[in-house]
Amino acid sequence: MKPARRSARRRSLPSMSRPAPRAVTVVLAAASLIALPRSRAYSQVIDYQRMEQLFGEPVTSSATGKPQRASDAPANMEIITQDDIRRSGATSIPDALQFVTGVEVRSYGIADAEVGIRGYNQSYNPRLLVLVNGRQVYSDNYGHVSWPTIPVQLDEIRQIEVIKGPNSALYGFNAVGGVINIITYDPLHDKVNAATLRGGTQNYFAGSVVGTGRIGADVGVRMSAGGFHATDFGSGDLALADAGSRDLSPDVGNVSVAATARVAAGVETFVEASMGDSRYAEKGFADTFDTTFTRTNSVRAGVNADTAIGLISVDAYRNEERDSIGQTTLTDVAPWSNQDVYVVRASDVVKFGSDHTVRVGLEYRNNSQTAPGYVQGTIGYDVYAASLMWDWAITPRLSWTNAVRVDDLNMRYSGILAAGTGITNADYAHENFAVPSYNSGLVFNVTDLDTLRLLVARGVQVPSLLDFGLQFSEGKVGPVVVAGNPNLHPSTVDNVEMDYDRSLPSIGSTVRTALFAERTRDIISEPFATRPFVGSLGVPVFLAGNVGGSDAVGAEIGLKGHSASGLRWNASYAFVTTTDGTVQNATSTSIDYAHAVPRHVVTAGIGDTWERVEIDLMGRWQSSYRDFQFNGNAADLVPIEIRNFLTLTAHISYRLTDNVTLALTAQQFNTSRLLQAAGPPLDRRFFVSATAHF
Amino acid sequence: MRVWAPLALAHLALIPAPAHAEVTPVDLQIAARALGFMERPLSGNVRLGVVYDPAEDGSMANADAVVTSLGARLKAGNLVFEPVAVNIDAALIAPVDVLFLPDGVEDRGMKIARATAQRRLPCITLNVSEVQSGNCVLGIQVDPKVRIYVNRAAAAASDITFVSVFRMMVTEF
Repeated sequence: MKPARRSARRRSLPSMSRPAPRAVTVVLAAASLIALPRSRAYSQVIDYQRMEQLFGEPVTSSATGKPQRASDAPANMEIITQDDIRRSGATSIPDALQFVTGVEVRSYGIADAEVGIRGYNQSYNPRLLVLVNGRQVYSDNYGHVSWPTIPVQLDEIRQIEVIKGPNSALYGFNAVGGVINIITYDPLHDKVNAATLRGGTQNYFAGSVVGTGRIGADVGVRMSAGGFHATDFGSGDLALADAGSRDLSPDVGNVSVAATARVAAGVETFVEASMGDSRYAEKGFADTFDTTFTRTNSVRAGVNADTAIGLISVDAYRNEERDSIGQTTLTDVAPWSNQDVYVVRASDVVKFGSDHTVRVGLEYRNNSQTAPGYVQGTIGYDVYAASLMWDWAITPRLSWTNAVRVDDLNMRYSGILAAGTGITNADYAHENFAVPSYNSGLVFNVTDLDTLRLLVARGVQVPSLLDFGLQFSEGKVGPVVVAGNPNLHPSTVDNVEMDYDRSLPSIGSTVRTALFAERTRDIISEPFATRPFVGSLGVPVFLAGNVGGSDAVGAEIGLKGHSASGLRWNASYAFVTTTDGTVQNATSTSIDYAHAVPRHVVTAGIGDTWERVEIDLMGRWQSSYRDFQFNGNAADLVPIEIRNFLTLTAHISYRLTDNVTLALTAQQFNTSRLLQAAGPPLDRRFFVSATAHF
Repeated sequence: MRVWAPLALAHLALIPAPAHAEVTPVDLQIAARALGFMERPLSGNVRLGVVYDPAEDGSMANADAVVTSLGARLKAGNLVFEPVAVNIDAALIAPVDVLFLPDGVEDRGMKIARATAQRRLPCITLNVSEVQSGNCVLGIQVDPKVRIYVNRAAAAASDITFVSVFRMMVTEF
């Protein structure tokens, strides 16, 4: 049974040409027609840096699609700035996220991490939508985020926006546990030139370079490249089958280029492209370890225009992912998978009068996964979506934002179905559903120091393409049939929340609190976690299914501040408890949300800057929780109790010259080896780095 | 809006109206950055007319104090402010690029509104009630949190338009 648990990946990466949908061409052409600038339009559409300098805080459009300062957003949002990233000594994006209140990062290896928000974290976590400048980097095929393949270097990140709770009304499917939008510097407005070399224990070596150039006054281009090589952590107590599947020499590399051109006053066009190639051990689909090979590329183009009828944005992008596993005992299965995603979007944000801002959006999505060994053909779907947001400034201190979106999904499948499940091609052909989602938020600035938020939202999680279309006929993985299910329902997550923020200017700090309750319905389970039935072939059939619901309740409190002298501090406590109402195959499921969340998490940090020296110390303590691990002998997973632990990180940097900074980082320096999840224990790590800005 | 007017007024009461606010360079820094989001932004050296009302006791002294505190040339964002005291009765003809309303001229604010409308000049103030009443286009509050207020009618009268993004992030009257 072990082979069937492996994710479907292989080294061979066959090309797959596919013409872009006609809609892409049509919309891009239309963009140039509708982007009619104001007659005396200002030269910039949105300039994060100038807005940030004006308001003294980060600005964002990730909460509603409307540009707004972070403290005004009708969402529980944490923003990690470039300064935060630098001072944390992070070597990856998950590193930078691990000290955020309510965010849990599970490391399953030196490159593999899963990130969850407010519970429900697991290997191949499907509940977190991750984007780069609004472009999805979440993989629809397996339903997760492969963090090392995100083609962004840390030096080119302006800010990482973490939205807690559902936000499907803006982003659509899978923005249920939360959304992370990684915002990079603008090639036209931000000049970023940096090169970093980093070396460390585990034979770690990494390098990155980011360069920005101007072509004339109206075109900016940024290029970046980076990657790392390391020796992964030893496998510890992993089952032999898992340990043997882990290639301990991860290699990751990504390149990207982005260009923005001011084509008229108030009108900017942009183009982005990226490529990545990675190989690393990960805990994959159905909780077994594999060594994943992934090649990705993306192309995106769009227009932003400040016009007489509002801020118009039109963009289209294509994501391509070719992945496989390098080591597999699935000798009868071609273990590779190709995924293509095409998205075309258009939106207009317009302010009516002094009190009302409205955003209308349209989106078309086409995705497909071709995997002869796993889905025995090609599965995909088309999604047509429309959204509406209305922000009403009821008074200067009270605003109410409502957003609604409807996604209409229509499935496609061509291939050979596994026999004996009772599912026919007609089931796939007829599968379609339209799902509404919404966000509503009341933001009340009680005084200049106090902000109260009342939030209600419904998010929608769609099954992964494998959940829909996996096809393992009898004999492929033993005397059973294992299959996806086109009749799966999307899972919905309802969230109610009350936040209260209080500024404490006397100590240069802000206290943020949150209370939330969340209900998940129709949890989607991969085939092995469902109870089998005897199919028409007389053998057990495992079908992906909806297995019930779950409730979560939680609270968060955090304090963050700094002094004029450079001293900075933060501390937070997050609590979440979960109850499940699920029906599953008890011996082969990792769906045990009630125990699989650390209920108590405390983070704290302190740092200071003295002229050329920066020192920061960060810590995270979390209570025990249960994770799952393959037992190596059968289909079963065994629970692994992860004891409570404390991990400390220290970072010290010295600015050698105005342009060159040297840094030393110690991760988990308080203990030499620590089991943080049901995977390899993590070793204490040290890094030295040199960064040059030019 | 009519239904919500009482509520709006109730909340406006919570807006601090710094009747005797002391002008600092930081206020002008914020003002300069806000003016940078006009569709036709100012640039370079900008003559800042600090208005006083000779009929009001202490108004001229207050304006002079503001000018002195800001210095001869104050770099703020992309602008270099060159403050000079301006008699409110000469606001229509004074050689300035921006008018600044300090405390003490509230009673004749309409005169400023007329002057800025006729001359297409931006007007900035720290007194939000001057913006709310339409006497001034742009209101600045720095502490404890930066807030920007814009009077749309006054802006339109002065032929001043702000970019959409800016409008979405400030409080408009």
